[in-house]
Amino acid sequence: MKRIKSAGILLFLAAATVAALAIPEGLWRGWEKKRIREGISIQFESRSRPNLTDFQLADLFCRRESFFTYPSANDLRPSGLSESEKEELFSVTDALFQEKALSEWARNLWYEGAFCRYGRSSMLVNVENYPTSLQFVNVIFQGERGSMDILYEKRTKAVLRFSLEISDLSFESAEELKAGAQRTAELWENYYASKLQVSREYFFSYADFPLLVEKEKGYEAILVTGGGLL
Amino acid sequence: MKLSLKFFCVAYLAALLSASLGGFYLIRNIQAALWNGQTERFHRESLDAADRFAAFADLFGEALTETQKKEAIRQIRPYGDKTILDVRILSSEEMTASHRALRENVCEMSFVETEDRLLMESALRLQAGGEEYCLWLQSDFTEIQRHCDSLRGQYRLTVLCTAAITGVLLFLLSLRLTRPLNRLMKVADGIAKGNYGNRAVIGGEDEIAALAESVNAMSVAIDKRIGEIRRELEKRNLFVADFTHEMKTPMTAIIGYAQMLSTYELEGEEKRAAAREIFCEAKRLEKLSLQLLDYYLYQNRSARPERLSLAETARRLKAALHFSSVKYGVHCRVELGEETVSADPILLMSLLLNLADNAFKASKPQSEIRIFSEVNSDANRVRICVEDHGRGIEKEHLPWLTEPFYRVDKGRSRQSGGTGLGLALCREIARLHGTELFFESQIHRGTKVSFTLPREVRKA
Repeated sequence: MKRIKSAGILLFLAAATVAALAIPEGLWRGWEKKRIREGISIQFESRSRPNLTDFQLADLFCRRESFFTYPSANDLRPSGLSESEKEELFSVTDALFQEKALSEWARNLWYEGAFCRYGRSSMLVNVENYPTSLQFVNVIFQGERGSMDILYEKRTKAVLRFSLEISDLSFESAEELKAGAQRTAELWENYYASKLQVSREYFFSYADFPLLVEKEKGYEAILVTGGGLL
Repeated sequence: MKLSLKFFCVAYLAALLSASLGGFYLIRNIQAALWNGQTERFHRESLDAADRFAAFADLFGEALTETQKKEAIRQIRPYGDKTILDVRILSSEEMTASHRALRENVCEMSFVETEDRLLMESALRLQAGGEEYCLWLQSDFTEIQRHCDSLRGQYRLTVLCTAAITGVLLFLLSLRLTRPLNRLMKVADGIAKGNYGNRAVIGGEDEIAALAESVNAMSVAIDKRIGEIRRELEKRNLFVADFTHEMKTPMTAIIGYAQMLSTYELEGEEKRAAAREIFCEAKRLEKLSLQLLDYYLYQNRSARPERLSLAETARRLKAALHFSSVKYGVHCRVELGEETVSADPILLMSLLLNLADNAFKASKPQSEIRIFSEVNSDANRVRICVEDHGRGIEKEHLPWLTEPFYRVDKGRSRQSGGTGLGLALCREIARLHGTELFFESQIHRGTKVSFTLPREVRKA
């Protein structure tokens, strides 16, 4: 009787040990199954995005938070730009050049030009902690009267970098030549400093005549100019 | 059930319960924290991806091409979270019925179990850039599940180790705790069987050691008490034997003379002599019975002490001893002081008369007995002494003098009419007064018996 009682107690303790192992296991598994069966629904509210200003864009560009991927051979446009693309481009150059003669020159260049490359790249950046998309457009155009390379942001239409080469310029005097180069450089400075409100140390501009040919009446020259954010 | 087994069972179950409860809640909290953490993170990443996708799609204002979708996925995918397995953007043409059934702008999340993976999927139908899309993300919960499985494995191992270690330790502890109790039990069994000398030797300062001390003290007390009872019983047996013997002597004389009177025709003087002997022996029996009665009375009563003048006591004692002094031809000097003591007057007188009677019997004619008092050195008690110059008592008899029926010289005592209860009565009277009898004796020089009484100091 005593032995049976002792065996019973030992069996009870063994059962308690097994229960201490099995019951928590069952409870954990049950909790996991319950969680797996549960579905979750969350309301999504798309946030209204802030308008990106020229200055914010320039700031992002200068801080290297946004960058452009240069176009590849796939971006070649043998048939030129579409009308909507041209219109967009004209509005960008009009705002940049601010001089009718230059704007006209650019339009003629694009209408006459043979070689064109049009590249776009998009990226998401955080502006004031909101996701904002940027789309950079890079257009390279080359014609008989010169070439142009311009990089701008599609939504703000801010020009981030550009360069021009005008090859059919003629001047009566060297002074006029110098004055012309000076005025061109000032145009770019004015664009970045006034329109985009960027400090001087964050942009560059240049205007130079690397090739100057003296004719009977005056000079013929090639103007190389450009500017952009550093 | 044995106490050790009870203790083992209760402590083992308590340890098991605390280990399993503690482990259970710890792992449940870790499991919940892991699951909730990843679920929360996946919520946030799904909504962030949707937000970014909406911003991206807004830029184009037309249905995204496959290249643009790939670009969008590249841009919105949370690269920091390795658990995001897949991101898909479905345009309205690619959406299935289940995607169309989704509520617009509600991110629906659910688990999917595959053979070896547990995945959570989120699907959100939204309008972006004027087009309808379904953004679908998949997060892997397998790692968390594996982590939880590993924790559960550790729990099982911990509980088993705890059970084994606790079991062994508790078994040893229960044996250690109950071993002293077993020893005590053996000692108690020994005491029950009459081995009062058994002692439990248990070291330490805990309660069991204190209990062992108590049991040992109890054993000593029982041993002592049993000894006392035995001695008491022996005394009583001796008393009964002595009493029977004391009764037998006069009864034999009475029976003998009565038989002689009834058997023989005795003449005048012989007949009177026989009747006189019967009378004397009957009187002895009467005296014996009266003294025996006194002895029992003194054993069961208390003294009624009162202020008693020793001078007055001396006066009455002189008067009472006058007859005995003349009878034994012994001069008696009573020289009690002027002190006042606290004593029962009747009992004190009985005590002094008894002691004086013994002194008379022990003295030779023309000698002197002296009854006197002296103040003790502490001045709180008065010592009263009865002194004779008789034959004296041998030293070895002194401790037994106050035992009932104890006689130094049995033949002479009976001759002098003693019953053997006189000094036993005196001892009882002294005990009632909170004192005892002190004997000093020298052979052929005499004996001095003394006792003390509390002195009453007269207040000013």
